[in-house]
Amino acid sequence: MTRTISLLLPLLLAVPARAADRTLDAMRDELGRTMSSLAMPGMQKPYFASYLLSDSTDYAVSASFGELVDSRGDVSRNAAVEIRIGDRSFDSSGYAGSDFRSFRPVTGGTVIEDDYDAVRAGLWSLSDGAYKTALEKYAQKKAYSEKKGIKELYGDLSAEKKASRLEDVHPAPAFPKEDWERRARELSAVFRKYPGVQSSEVRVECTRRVNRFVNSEGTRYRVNADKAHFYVYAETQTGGGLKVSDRKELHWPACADIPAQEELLAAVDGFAGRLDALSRSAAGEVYLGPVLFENDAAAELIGQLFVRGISFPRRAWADNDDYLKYYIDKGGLVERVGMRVLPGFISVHDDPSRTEEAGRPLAGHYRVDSEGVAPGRLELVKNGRLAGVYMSRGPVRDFSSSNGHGRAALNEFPSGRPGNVFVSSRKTAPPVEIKKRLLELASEQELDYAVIVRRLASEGSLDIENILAAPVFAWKVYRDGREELMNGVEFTGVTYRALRDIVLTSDEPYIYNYYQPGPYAMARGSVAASIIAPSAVLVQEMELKRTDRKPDRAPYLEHPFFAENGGKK
Amino acid sequence: MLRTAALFFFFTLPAAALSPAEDPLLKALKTELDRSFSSLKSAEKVPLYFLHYGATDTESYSVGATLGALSGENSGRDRRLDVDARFGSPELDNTHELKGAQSRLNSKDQASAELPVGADAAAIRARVWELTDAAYKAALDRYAKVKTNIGVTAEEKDKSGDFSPAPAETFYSPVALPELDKAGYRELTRRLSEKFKKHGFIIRSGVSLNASAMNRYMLNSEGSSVVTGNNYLSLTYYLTARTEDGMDLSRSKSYHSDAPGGLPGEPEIAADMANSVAELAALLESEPSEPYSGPAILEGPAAGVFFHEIFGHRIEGHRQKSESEGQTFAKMLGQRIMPEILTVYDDPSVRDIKGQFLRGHYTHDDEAVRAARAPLVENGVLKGFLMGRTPIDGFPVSNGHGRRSPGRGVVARQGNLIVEASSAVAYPELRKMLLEEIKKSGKPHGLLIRDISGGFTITQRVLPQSFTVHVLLAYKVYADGRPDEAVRGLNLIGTPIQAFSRIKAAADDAGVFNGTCGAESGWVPVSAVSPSLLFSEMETEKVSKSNNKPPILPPPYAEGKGGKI
Repeated sequence: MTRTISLLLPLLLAVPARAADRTLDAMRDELGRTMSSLAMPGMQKPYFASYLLSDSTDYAVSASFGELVDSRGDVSRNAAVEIRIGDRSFDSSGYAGSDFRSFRPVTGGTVIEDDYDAVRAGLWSLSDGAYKTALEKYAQKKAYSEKKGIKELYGDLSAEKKASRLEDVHPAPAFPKEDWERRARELSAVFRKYPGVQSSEVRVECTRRVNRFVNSEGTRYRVNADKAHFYVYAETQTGGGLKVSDRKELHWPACADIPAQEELLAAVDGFAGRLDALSRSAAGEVYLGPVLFENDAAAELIGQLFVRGISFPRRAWADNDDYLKYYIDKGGLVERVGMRVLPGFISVHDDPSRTEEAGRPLAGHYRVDSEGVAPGRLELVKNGRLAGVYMSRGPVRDFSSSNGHGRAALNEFPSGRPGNVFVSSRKTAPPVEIKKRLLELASEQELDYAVIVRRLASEGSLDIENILAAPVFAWKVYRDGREELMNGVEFTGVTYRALRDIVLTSDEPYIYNYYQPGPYAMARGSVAASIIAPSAVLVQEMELKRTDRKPDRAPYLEHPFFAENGGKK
Repeated sequence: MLRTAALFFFFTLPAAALSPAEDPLLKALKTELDRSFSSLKSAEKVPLYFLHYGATDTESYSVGATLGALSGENSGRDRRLDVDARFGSPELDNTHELKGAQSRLNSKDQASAELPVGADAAAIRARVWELTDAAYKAALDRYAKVKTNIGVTAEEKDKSGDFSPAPAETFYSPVALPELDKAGYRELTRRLSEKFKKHGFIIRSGVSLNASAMNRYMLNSEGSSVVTGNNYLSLTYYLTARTEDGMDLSRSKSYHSDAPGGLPGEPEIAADMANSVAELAALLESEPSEPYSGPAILEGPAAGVFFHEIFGHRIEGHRQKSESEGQTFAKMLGQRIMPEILTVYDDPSVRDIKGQFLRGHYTHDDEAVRAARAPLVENGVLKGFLMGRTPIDGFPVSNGHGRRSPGRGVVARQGNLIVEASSAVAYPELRKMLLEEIKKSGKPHGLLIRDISGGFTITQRVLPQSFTVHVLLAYKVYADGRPDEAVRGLNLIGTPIQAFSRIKAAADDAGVFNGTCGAESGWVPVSAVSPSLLFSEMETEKVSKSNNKPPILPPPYAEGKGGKI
């Protein structure tokens, strides 16, 4: 009783670059009507409008402990409409007022077929609401600005050149559903070897996506924005009763980039084995001393402290600005342009045009950002000093125009976000030497052991108290080189100073594809990005404390599978 | 309204055509239930005396279209598990209501789990084990809270205990989703939805078709093993408009059945749609209603909804003893609460009435108790309540009305609420009686209420025991022979005891409303059946409105076509 999924694929029918695109025509024509005719008597007309239409065909397969939990295909088309009242120097955008929940673009689902009238009707309906909202926001923002006597105004929409990029759209390749169901079952069954793991799931997601965009300045694009994603989740409980879960994510630019089953099996096995080991690990203690970050953890350290720090440079206004920190993130380093943010031996640049590094595909590749601006190579840090931050079309004190990094998921406003981040270091050593240096530093401080972190919790787990997530896998390293896994520790007192305290890096690059969570707490989306950074980063001094989380009671009964197959520790 | 995401799952396990011994989900649940109960019943000082597993397996398909183009299509299959654990004894257990400051913890929300949809026993049992452990710990924790709460709060009036006995049931009758002509449904929804494009005053519209097969697996430590299935098919259309004064108006209609052949044909639906367009146009041109009190007819399906809201929810058994409930009818057993001509009962075991499908039909409730007719009102006199396995004074056993959706605890709910009149007149006669009532009352007009939405009825004691029901379609009826006039923007308001006392007569029709009802134990399919009823007096209030202006520009496809309606 296998059902085919051919029925909805017309949505992503091939569109060669020069062929007619009725959906793009519908967007252009309705945008024209919006700019020429959408006006309430006695009120301002829009000075800027844009439409984004995102077509997706998603497949997802998930499995747990050897059996399917979910297997689905999903075809959708969503629209985002932006309408601005005012002018470039001061407009209706960027004002949350007192309602953070509704501070998001006007979006809606629309018909999934390329029907000219129905596509226009969907945009018409959204535009009407967006225009009325913009009128109100403009008046409120103006009143707020006057009430507060705000003098520091840098403009609201940068002038950018009109641009056009129309990519060929290829039909979605058939998704090898049965193959993936079999693979997911097999990958999830790896956990049958690990009695220390209580709960687990694996999931594969493939998205075929085409984004279409038009704005009232004549910019338009039609780009392919596929992505693929694999994640494995598991939860274990330590001897002390602490529940620990981890979720390893792997990202690729497209489904075809997903590696062979053997590689995924090895990844799941490594992940499951470490969590299993964590169930038998001892609780860590308070620690103050050198910390070595390796692989995923090294990339996350750079991602969470540096990349996030130079993202989202501009924060919206709100009636009660005390609340802003809870609802809208702002990069903590963006005002340090020209200042030292990293050691002098480190330089950083971003280049979204790069599609791969050392044969590995980069998830942060794109040709045009969400606002239709093409990115180039962007110098971020030169010899430790901050030279640039990620810019959308929202100007800030130090930068008045976009550098092609205005990125966003459909449900959030574009803001400065990364693409492919390249970190280069001139003070490097082979990994063995770095571990030796770590132990030397510990010894200088008369410590019994040093700490190596190989996995951090993801950026999405951060709260407003912390700028660096807790280690999931951390080891004590004794003077003789012996390593001992520990659990239940968190960083404390971390500041951006940690970046300047990097003393040494490895000489080999590590390629890390990830999703960067957006700045809006009530409408958080994520964009795919890549960090290409040294695989090991040694920080002079960091502080760890024991977690405040409370333990849970162990399960009353043994896991039924391990009870019958004799596996319990 | 319409989903834009099109989902389609692919699974290969038709639930039907299996025997209980071959059903992998049933087997896995049974194995794990036996293992869990035998080990857990005495794992703590307080005994675990009851353990229940409820798995809801749903396979569904839907397709929707707007303005002639598909807006979404999806198919899905999912399985959710609920585990109910009871500590203590049937006289007093962890489900006992908390009073005073702790009453905020009486929510029926509970943890549920997503089960694998395939047949692998080890994978299913692993998830069942996880949720059992969580449910066991949560129940144990709540039992301690209950014991303390009993000690520090005032004594309760109703001493009927927390759990009633029920015979162990064995039943196996799953269903499979019927073969669906998906290509045909795609074309049908496209064709029908395109009809709204002719009318520039409609600002949103759509047509959707939904089909689902729901199989409920229920096993408990008393030996019950029930697998029961229902198919639900529906076709729905809606259309909305907005008045210049900022009031959103809509018409919609749903057709329900348990088989594709039970839905009406395209000509019938198209005719209803044309009728709805005319109704919406009339509403758009009508004057907003002013507060009013006077004679009214509530037509068939609307009267059913009215009874469901105003009466049905108040006779749910557990509300009769909850210390936070209004208990409108708790002490009125044997008393007249409505006119002698009316008899009301709830009978989920009935699949259809006068050939009309009833969506509230089921063989067993969510506590594995066989559905039975619950007599509620006989000749105007209150006779009983809707009962799950939570007993109340004088009603020690369930009548098969304990219901929930996954992730909630069970409470007593309606299934098929049926109102019958022992003496009825033909509908034209009822209308004549309305005209007489209008003249008698000296009012300028009466009301004819054709369609209402659920609205809300307050049963909680902290607030007035009143109801508000939003009217979707009503007409002013004049005694002087003028034609009826559509009227918009009104709610029916009142209090239940008074409202029922004002019912004067019933017609010989039986209007069926099929829908989905939400309450503390989640969403459940229901039906309400009632004849058209004449009220000597019904009070209305103005509705709140969005105050949004209508769209500034006409729809793009209607540009240049002039005239609004």
